[in-house]
Amino acid sequence: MRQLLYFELKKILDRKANQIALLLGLLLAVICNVMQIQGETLTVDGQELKGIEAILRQQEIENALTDELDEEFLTSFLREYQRQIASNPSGYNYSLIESKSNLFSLYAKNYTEWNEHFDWETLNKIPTEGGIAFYDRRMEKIETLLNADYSYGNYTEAEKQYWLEKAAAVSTPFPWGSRNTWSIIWNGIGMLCYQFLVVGLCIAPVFAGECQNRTDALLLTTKYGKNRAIFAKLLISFTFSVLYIALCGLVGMGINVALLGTEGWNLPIQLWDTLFPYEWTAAQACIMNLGVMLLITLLLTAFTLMLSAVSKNPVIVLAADILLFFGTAFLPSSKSSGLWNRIICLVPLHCSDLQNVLKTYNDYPFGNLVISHLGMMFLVYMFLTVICTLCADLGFILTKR
Amino acid sequence: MELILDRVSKQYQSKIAVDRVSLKLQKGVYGLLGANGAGKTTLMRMICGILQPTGGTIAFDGLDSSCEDYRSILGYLPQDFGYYPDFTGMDFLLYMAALKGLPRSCAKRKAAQLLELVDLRDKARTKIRTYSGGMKQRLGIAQALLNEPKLLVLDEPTAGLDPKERVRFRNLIAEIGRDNIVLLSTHILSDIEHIADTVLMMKSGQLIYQGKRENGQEDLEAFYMEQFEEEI
Repeated sequence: MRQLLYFELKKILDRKANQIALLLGLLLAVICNVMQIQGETLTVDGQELKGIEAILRQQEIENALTDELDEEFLTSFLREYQRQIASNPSGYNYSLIESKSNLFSLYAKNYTEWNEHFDWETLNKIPTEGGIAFYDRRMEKIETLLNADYSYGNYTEAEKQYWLEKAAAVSTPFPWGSRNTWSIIWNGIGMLCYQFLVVGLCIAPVFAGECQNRTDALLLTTKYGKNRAIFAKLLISFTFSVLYIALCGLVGMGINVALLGTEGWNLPIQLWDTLFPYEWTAAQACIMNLGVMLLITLLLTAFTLMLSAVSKNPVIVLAADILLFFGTAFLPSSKSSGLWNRIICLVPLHCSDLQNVLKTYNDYPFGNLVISHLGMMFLVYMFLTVICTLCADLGFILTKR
Repeated sequence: MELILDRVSKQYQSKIAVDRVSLKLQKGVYGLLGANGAGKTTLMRMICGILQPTGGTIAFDGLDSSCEDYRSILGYLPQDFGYYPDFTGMDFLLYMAALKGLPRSCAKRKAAQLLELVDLRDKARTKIRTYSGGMKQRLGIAQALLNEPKLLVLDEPTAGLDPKERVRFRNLIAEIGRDNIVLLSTHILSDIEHIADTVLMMKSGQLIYQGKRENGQEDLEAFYMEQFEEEI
């Protein structure tokens, strides 16, 4: 069996197109992460900083603010900002915000209505007399979101209870620190979706390539051609895809950690958006996002193998992959069908954006049982992966009959 | 040692490619003749278990053609021999040996022997994409012999071989046929004349003739033309 696995891997790695795609993919993973860092800018005391210097300086400034976002600090900090704005004859001034933008955006997001984009102007409109009730406002916003009227159907009582319990269970007050490093890491993981193309390209010829090389007949007449050889193809394809995506993710994480350190790994994800109803740290969220990417990779691999097993042309397989994994992101949501909206929430590109998944409060109710978007994604993706793998297993033999 | 085909048929929608062929093959070399589209390749692919017959059964010493044990005694060279262009000749044979269930140490020894036999030892570490047509065909023959098959099925095995290689190949097949069943199809009548003990002829999916070569068909070409007179 080891020999079969070795030769199946050799077939994948020997193809020139695969070698080029893998090299470009890894290069892209490096470039995306380095460019994110290089793209950061910060102006402090009239001096413009760039890249690592800008990130580290902002970390320094933000870390110096406080350790914890208690109501007292939040109120006094905002009051001071509003005082500065009021004393400034030209009004809004971004230089007041820039070096502490992570904290200011947290205020702005928390006090913007759930269905509106945040605006820095919001900061001036928050009443500070008697405290700003930051955490009450968070729960109020979540309740408004859950009680709103939706043309495609409202949340049931069971759903509301499910989400409110989750959101209320998040510990407050939030610890504070700079989240810059982990923002870059998290964004970098989101960009892994482009690597799905590389996986599709490398896996598409696993079965279809046998027909293209005219080796299928030979393979099927050997002792293990109808069982172990197919198993080896499936196993090596899954292992290859998962390891490749994990490698790209770890390369990105590694670059950021090496250049910026690990600071902020234990900060709560609510520092990104107070709507998030899960009590995760930044590192946990990044690992979870990488897990989601690997889940999508499993389905992509299984789907590709299934098409490859019944097709004679790897190009057709790759085209179908692109349609399913990228094309479905353009499916429009419905104004009347909640079911349709829930289905399109499960398409790969939507699922790969974990930050969006976490704040949209999408769920799948079955009577009193409520399954979260993440839970349903896991169930559906695993189920489809198994089905597609079985179809690939049978398809290669049956279509040759 | 016996390969039994019992009323084997293959039908594709309205077309019958092989029509109730019954055969009993024992040790020896069998030459399968027939015009293009007569059903030779379909029959061979069914004997090799690639295609599922729509009717009838194929068994070797009681082993059904769909089972793993049947495939372990089988050697096959397809008409359109496929290969992995980025593999070397040695890689290809080692891969085929793994598929045929040969232990690794045995596979290396056997692969080296066969590369020597088909005169490809010097090209063992060269990528197959650089091989000539004749070299690829010889590699195909080598892979078919890896597991010392009791049933060897060769579809157009001499295509692409030069006259010297063809003579070597005929001798090799004749030797294998002494202890095993060899079924070969070819358009080259001289191959059949020199190697085959028994001639099988197919026409429109049916087996129209089965007989020993020495049974009165000294001039096989004339006999062949006679059988296919209407078509020609």
